[in-house]
Amino acid sequence: MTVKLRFDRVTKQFGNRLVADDITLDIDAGEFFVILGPSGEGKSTLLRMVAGIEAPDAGRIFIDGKDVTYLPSNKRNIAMVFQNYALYPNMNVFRNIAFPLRMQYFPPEEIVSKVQDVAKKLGITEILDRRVNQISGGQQQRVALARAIVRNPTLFLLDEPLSNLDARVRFAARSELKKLQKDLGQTFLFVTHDQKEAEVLSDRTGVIHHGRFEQVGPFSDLYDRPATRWIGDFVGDVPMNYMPWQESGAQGALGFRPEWAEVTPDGDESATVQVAERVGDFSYLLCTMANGWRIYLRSLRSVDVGTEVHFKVNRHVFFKGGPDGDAGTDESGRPERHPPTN
Amino acid sequence: MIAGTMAATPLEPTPGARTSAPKYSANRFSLSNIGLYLVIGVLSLFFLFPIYLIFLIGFTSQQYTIFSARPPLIPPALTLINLQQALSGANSPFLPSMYLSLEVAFFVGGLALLIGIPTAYGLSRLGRRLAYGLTTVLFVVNMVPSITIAIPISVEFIKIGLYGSPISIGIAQELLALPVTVFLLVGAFQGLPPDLENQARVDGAGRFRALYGSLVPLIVPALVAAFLLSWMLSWDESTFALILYNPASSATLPVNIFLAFTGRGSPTIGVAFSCIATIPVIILTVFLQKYLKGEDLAAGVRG
Repeated sequence: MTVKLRFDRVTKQFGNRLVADDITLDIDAGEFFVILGPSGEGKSTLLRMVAGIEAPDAGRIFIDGKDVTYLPSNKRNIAMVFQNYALYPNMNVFRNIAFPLRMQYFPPEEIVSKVQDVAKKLGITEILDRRVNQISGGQQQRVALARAIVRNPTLFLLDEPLSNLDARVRFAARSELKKLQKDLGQTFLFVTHDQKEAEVLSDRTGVIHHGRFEQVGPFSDLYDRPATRWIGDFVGDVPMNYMPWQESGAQGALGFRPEWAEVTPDGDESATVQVAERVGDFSYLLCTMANGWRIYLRSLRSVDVGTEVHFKVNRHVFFKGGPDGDAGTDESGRPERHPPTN
Repeated sequence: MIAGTMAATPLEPTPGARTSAPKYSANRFSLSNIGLYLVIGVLSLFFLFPIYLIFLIGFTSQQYTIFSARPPLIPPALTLINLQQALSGANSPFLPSMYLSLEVAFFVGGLALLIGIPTAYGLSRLGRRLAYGLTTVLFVVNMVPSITIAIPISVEFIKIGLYGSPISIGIAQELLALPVTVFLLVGAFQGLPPDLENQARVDGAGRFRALYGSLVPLIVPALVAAFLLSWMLSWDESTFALILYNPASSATLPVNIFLAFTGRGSPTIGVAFSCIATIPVIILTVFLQKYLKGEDLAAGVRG
């Protein structure tokens, strides 16, 4: 695998807010890499540094092995889809898609054929002569994508391109985006706060927190083997459950997902049901344990609030840390990194 | 004209509010409303009366106006004789004067955009406070009386051999027109979503093409407003035009009007010129109304 994009000790600060803290990361050619994180964690800033809209305070960015840290955007041969699509409002759909080609002085006949090809691929041939404010949100997103792929760049930057769509359209757009990336075979760097998008789209996901990648890997790793308790809480429908754990002097917490535990009468742990929520064909039970810890369990049968349920944990991860099982923090307030053990 | 726009936007209470909130009276002729209309009426009279006088003198025989001890407010008879004399007299300065005025006004309007667009773009990319501060500094020339800078400017123009040329008048008037243009355009640029320019850059446009290919087309209303304001400013301007004109060729319309009233030529010629000089301004003002309200103006004020 060749490295498409490399962050080399990239640091960026806005005022006294550190949005990128010494980030080093390689993204392979042809990879669909998702940067996942809560709002305001500097995800977009990373993307904008790759695009050349912001410059890092320190560190280097390489595309195809070439140092582009201070190269102007128009010299980088990348495509970017902004969250609001940034369609040129004074141009119709055709001219929007043709814009990158015109900037490269393609001959007019070639522009027409290229735009029509890409419009056909994205199913927007009928709206080519419409104004961009006369088309739906889903169509606008396709136009923005069409404009991005029309000149065959090898690196695509997408800044929450699905977040402005209705839930129903978003679902379809998500699968189409994945298919598009596989067809093109190009590198996609995709920013989102929606873990469902990361799960469905990504080859690898990097979770960013306090300006650092707290964990990078396939989404299933983030879910099954979170590196920190913060990841365990952030990834998943509900936060991870924890139980105090102690063994041969070491203290910490056992972490387990609701579906890793089984509600059964012969379970050796017990908890009292506080809230029961029906989700699809099972119920989430918010329970309190005898020591006051709150955990989520899953049950196929409905359970009354107030009853005591027994359960056993079939699978878990272990977090080292303070007496209450917290992973602990270092002096700068960042969570320490502990390798997960199974 | 701005006051007119604002007054034309009445506070229409909604039907629901009308019954529940008696604060907004349904009666259009309440005491406060009558007072409002009275003020508007007096103000309108105040501004329109001089224009009425100009047209009155322009289209009435001299025996009723200039040569009368008590000129009537309503013309006994209308005539075109004044205009005919002023425009088609053997050595009437009208045509060259009109031509010079147009030439200078278009020069000022065009140059204002040529310099104003890149200047305003640059300012709009600074922080809002810095941009606002620097734009204010540009108005320094507008803050001092024109006559105090007209003389030193004339000396400089004599040195470089431009004195008396239309370009010298235009450049001097540009000092007044450019700050207004920059002020308007900075607001317009700041009103655009910043990602639009970023998108153009990522799409392969250099800074110049991103500016003129994707941003400038979006602020056309502000460009029109800025051009027309500069054009009108030049059309009306008389101090620079008077100091810098070349007596051997011709002067702009306002200067000729001034000269007609102060010695050379007759007052009727001055009045006739005034009538004609007013017409494009009235037309442009009506046209400008469309651009001088709503977002365009708000963007200019936001700073």
